[in-house]
Amino acid sequence: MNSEMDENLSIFISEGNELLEDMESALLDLESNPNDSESMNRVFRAAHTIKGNAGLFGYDQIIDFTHIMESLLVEVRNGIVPITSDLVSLFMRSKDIITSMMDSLVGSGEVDQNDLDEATKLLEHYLADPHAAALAANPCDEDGSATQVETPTGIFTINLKLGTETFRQGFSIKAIFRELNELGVITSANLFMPDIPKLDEIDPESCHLSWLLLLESSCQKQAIADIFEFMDDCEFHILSPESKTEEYKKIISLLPNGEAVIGQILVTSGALTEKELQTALDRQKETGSRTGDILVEQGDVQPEVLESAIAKQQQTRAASSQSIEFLRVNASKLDTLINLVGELVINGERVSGLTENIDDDKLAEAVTEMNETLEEMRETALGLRIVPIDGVFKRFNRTVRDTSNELGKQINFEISGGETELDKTVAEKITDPLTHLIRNAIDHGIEKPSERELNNKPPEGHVALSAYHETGSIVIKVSDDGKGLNKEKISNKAIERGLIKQNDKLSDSEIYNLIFEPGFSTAEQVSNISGRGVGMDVVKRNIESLRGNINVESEEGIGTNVIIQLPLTLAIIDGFLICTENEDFVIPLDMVVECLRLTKEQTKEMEKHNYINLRGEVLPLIDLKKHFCLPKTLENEPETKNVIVVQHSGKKTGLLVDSLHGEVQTVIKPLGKIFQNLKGFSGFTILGSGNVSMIIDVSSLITDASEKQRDSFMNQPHGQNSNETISSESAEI
Amino acid sequence: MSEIEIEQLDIDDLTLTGEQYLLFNVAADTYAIPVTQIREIIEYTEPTQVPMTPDFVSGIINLRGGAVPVINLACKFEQDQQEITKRTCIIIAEVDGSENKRILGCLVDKVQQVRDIPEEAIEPAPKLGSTIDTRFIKNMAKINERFIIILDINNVLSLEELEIVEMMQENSLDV
Amino acid sequence: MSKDQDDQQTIKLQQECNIYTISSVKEQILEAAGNSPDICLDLANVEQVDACFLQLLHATNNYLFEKKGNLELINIPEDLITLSDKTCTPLPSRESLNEQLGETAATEPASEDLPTES
Repeated sequence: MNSEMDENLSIFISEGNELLEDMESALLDLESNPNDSESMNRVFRAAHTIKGNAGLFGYDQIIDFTHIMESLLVEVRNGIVPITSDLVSLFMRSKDIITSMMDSLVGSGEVDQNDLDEATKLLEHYLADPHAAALAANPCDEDGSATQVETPTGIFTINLKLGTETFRQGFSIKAIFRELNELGVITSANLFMPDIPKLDEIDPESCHLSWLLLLESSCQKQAIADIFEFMDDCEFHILSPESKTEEYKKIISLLPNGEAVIGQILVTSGALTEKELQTALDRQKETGSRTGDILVEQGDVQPEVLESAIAKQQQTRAASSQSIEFLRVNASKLDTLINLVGELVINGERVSGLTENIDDDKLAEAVTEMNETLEEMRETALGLRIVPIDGVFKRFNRTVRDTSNELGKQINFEISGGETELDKTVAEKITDPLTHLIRNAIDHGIEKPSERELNNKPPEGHVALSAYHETGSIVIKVSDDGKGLNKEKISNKAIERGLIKQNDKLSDSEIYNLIFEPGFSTAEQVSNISGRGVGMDVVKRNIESLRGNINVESEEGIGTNVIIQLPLTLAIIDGFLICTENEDFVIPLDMVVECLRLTKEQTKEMEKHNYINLRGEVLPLIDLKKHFCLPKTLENEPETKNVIVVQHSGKKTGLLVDSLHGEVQTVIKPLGKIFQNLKGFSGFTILGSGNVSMIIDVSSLITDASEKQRDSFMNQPHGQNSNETISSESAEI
Repeated sequence: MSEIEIEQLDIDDLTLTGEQYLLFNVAADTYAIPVTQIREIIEYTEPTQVPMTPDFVSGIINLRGGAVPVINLACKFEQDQQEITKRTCIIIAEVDGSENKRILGCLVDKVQQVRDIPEEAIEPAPKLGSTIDTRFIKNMAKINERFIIILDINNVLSLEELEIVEMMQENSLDV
Repeated sequence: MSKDQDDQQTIKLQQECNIYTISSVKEQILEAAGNSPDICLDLANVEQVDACFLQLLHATNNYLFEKKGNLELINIPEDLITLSDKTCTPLPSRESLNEQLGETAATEPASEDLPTES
């Protein structure tokens, strides 16, 4: 029972957070484009859904607060309250309050009561005084149609049935007709008394009159409906002129994809009045017919208008099914599934191997078919964890907005490559480092507007966040056009902090990368934004924990680029199987450039130095046998040696192995904590034979190998020839 | 890699008074581990070497899709290496690590039996004169006039010990 | 269709015909109708009328028509004519009744939409 509650709560929270994120991004869109009714609808939907969900679980605080917010949103949506930057900020603040309310449900953090009270008051203020605010209103939605003055004259068909109380309530029939005559010309009128009681039964004070009127007018349907507004028990249907059909159809087609209810679409377009809709809905409850059918039957809308509204509804549904219809799955279940699929792929390969020598066409066919299906399954399973980075990127709109407001800087924030896909886990873990980098760019990179103008730069700073794929990894770039890094300042600081020595000769890139050293901060004034203890070293550590790397490029006065390279860390990768001293190893295939068989001459060269001449280039070599200190298992060295050429960070390195076994599909599995300090491996995999094989992490292998070579070079300062110096340097990548 | 069924072993004294132990041989000595710490016993399968790890790490094996590190107890206890025979087994044990339970394999020469060891048969570990590191010994038990070493498996396989991996790696740089 | 008009009774309405008096007007007509289905309403003393009176006229017309009688209006005041004009509510006559019945039949689906009230 309790755990069920917990599960519900966690679903509520995770869904709520998603909605709030969407709300935030929609609010930002709205701020830059107040007429974007689709964004408006997204904000509204989010608030509405959160309120509904909170209602299911009885979280009163959230219900009450979102209710006020929702009420105001309705006013905004109807164009009564104009969208201003202040209003968006208020909604942002409200969003944060809801977030803290949800956090407090799981015991992390508390709701700031003062903040809540103040925000509630502000929301209520807007609600209470919409008209003052409406002066500056920028009408959208249904007002949009109302403002279209030049509408053609047409004939409205009005089916008016007065309520029985009409006389007693003191309504003057004469006055009603006078008002109708003011709107247009009644071209035809027929009185009906279909249900008038007999004289001996009639209550002469009750009204039983109905008219079918034709009114020629250029007015809006609502204007006619307004005449009957206060006649509570009066029923009327106004069919707009044929001439309006096209107009309504056009308005409907232009409506944003937000409203999925036919009635609302029609009301928004002006083809239907609220009251007509209400009557139809009441009737729908009684009869169970479709609202649309009732509306046509009652003579409220033309069938064509209804059709276009239905088309709109379907369009909306299709659009919303794209964005909302997700299935929430426990991540660990997903991981288990992916693991199982991985196992299946392995077993599939194993079966293929076992049946290879059996001469049975049908068996072979079945196995081939099975493996094709498995391959497809593998692709699908892989895709389950893959998400576009867009979700992460969008959050930074808020970061940029808040940071720039706080610092009084104008920022033009640009996002590109949001569609680039990566593993969800990586996406989640990259958020914090990126937040820091972006804040840093705005705080330390971008200058104050006045300073920028002095340097002939536009006052608005430019910060860009981009992502793209590059051979098996994802590259994320944070760029700004700020003042760039000051080499001298960095060097001085580094010397001061004892990170480098006075006379150390460092390349530009080495200097820039000093900013990632622990305890390094160039900000002279520790601001609220960055420099709150989490420095660039934390960023670097985070990136490295994802097996990625980070680099910085900068030009003083021009700007700074921070480039992050991350592995896609897919559960399943294509690998290349190699063997040395009877031990199998897997190298990720996307790292492999080519395979070489060493000629005797090259072997000799290799034995002398740690490199070979590859088509005129120096190819540093790592002998895996030596590097991994593998015990000798073969009595005789194999006749030929193989080199597998891998590329990392644009540089090529050869790995010397005994034999090559070709491509395999492998499931990367973590090695576990006890091997956490093991360098050169990213995990292990289980081969088709059922044996375990280590997966080589090329980048850490190369780093490790070059360190080893440097150490051995340092330990043996004598007897080094120049060739070896070259080789060790070229292995340092 | 079929599991060896415990029933095949020679089980005696299945009284429920004392704790139950699995008795096994490494080199010349008999050792015991409480059965509650044992997940299963599997036939020997050749572990995949993990380069640059201490000698007592035989490597890793595939246990239903997961990698289980295997510790060579003879090596760990600095005893003579025995040849791999039909009776060589890997005991899959659960170890309480610093954070959570971990699964480790112990390479042993022979599994003897599962039996009770009555509390009165258990004696404190000797401070001196044992053939292996006393930190690995939890208690001694005297059964049929023979001494059995009850291992403190947590200590034997403790993560701290295994994280010597790091040290070994650094050592290997000097090679 | 029509009956001889010998029994026609003339009711001279004395008061204004509005929501306050309409019930008593109805009683008068109903009483007279009990005697003969041919009724003549003399409206000479009626200056102002309400729509409820128009409705009552129609109800009366229907009632008398069923009894094969007839309703005749004499001395129709200006106000009633205006009301009839303004509200597109014809004064009852045999013709208008026929017309109305026909119309009602022809627009059957539309009128059926209107929920029946007591």
